[in-house]
Amino acid sequence: MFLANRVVVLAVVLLAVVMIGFTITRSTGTPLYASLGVAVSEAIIEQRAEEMGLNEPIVVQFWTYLTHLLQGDLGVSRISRIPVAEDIALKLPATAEMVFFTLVVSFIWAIPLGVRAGLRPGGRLAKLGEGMAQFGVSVPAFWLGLLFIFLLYFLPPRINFVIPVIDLAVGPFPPLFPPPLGRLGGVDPPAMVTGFYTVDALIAGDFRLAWEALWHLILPAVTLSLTSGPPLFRVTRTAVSEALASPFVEAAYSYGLGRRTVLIRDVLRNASPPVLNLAAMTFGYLIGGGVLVEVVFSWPGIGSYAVWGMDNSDYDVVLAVVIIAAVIYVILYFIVDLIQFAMDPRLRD
Amino acid sequence: MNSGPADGALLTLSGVEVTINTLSGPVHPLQGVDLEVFPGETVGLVGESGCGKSMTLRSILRLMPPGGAITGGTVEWQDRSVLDLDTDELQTYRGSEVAMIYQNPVTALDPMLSVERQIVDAFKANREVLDGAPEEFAREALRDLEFGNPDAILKRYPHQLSGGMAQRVNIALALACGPSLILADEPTTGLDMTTQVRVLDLLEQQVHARNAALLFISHDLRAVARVARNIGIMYAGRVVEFGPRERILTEPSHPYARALLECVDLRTDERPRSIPGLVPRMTEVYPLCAFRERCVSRMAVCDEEPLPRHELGGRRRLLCHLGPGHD
Repeated sequence: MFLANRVVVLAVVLLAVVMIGFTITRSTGTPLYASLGVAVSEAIIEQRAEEMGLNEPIVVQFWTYLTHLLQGDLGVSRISRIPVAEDIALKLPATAEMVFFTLVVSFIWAIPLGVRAGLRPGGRLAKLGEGMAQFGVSVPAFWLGLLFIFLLYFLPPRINFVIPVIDLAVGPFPPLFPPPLGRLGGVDPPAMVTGFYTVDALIAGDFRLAWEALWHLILPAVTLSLTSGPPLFRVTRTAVSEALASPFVEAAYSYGLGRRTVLIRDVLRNASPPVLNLAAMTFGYLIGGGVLVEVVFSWPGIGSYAVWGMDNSDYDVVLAVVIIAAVIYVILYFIVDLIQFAMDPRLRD
Repeated sequence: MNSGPADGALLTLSGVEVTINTLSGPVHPLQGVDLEVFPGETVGLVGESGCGKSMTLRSILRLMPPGGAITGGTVEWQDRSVLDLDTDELQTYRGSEVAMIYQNPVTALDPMLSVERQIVDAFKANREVLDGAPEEFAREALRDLEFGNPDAILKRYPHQLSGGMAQRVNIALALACGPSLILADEPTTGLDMTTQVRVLDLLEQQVHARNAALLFISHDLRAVARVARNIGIMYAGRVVEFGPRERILTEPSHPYARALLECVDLRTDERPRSIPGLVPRMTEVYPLCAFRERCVSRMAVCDEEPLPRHELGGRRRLLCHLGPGHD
């Protein structure tokens, strides 16, 4: 019942996304000039429009798109002539890996600090967390990315001076991070298995390459985590402090259970559903919402791909990214629902 | 104020004070609570809401709300000071010496855990070794509380229990480690009338079967009178009068106790009356009598001198300038 319900909702949501996406992309321009230039004759343009099916009524075009979509055909880029599905298969893992590591970073700072802040409000770590959250929500992600690149890549090799009195030469230093030019610095990627370079390199047994891939991931992941982690910090803090104040927590102490047991068994368990929910939402959001950071780090992900598609009014590219992002959202929600269903007995009745 | 632990008492509170620091300033829910509980007896505490009944129970277990602390007095368990117990000792003390039953039975159970898990964990809390499977103990515990089909109940989750069932599960949890004192914080308030009687009977029966003592608090004098042999009347963070049930119910000495008794006169069918005046605000400390603003017997001395304490023998105690036998 629960499952059937979910699948129906999923289908309706996706159909709505396709319809809205289709309408919007078709009404904002034409790929004809981008693919042919402006210095061509009317006849050639007309011929191209006919080839691309752009002269058909919009309803017919939509029907064609939808039937192709249902067969897994996302169309062809009007510019590069490469099937969109092929490009997506290459670019989605890049984004997914970046977003995954973003969440890893958030799970390292936002959630532990949130737990701590919930357990001990007003403590030093609570203040640190709140400070980081304030900072994270007030700076734009692309700006923070540029700042990191400036401080950690650009600046160190340019530090070069001598301290006068003691005559000590300072610098130049090597850059702390690789240049912001994608997922790997000029080496061949590992053989494709999962599409995550870190994982694929480990599978191939190439630790140097895995390290290299990880090193390229850190700055974009930290940038995105600092700007998308604050809600996670705050929700964790609220959930923990609410769970901590529940009567059943006091009751558990009164039976003689220890602090650790009560924290793990009662407080964290009861605080986890909203945190889990938000983590999934953050993941879904970043799949499309990390575009600017992808651009700053020249990350070859689907965000950059969508921007490229938009520049050229390449309908199928833009629409495919929108649909993929929606599918990921819906699937994530479904997984979170399943986990919560397994965890919370109240949902099972 | 401190007279040391009474001979043979299980639990002795002397002059216990609690202060809670809240965002809007300190609150003083307990302002010098004196109370003894002897082995195997049932003691009841009555008072209006906010008089410090629940906080008294929490101070016995040293379970303070955020910002709260026991700031004065002593809590003695037999010959040990509860306030000096370290973390491990405190954990053993909670559950296997003193355990508590809560007011709202459903919210006192973790909604995410099965009844079985909760009882088994409570069982294991203070026992290094269990001679037998913990599930067997859990089943036995439920059978003691008159669950006809313990196996089915063990599999359930709190939201699948009625209020009465949940409260019986709570009683099983409190009894799990064999405490010699059970604290009951209005255990039947949220239940409907017929369930109240059944749960109360069951609680008494189980407590007596284990020779445990029971400290029962309620704003409902009838419920307390039904269960308790000795009754304390609380007002503004103090036990203003204490004594055997018969004395308190028939000839109370403290003006507040009398007023309270008149409110719920068990002998007449009149509509209950209320005590004129306002319940004192616990943001203030009351060195003098806190009841004097509402008191019909107010005297000049009430506004000048702190409360005297009259020990009247036979465990009777009175905190009032009137003293005993004024009438």
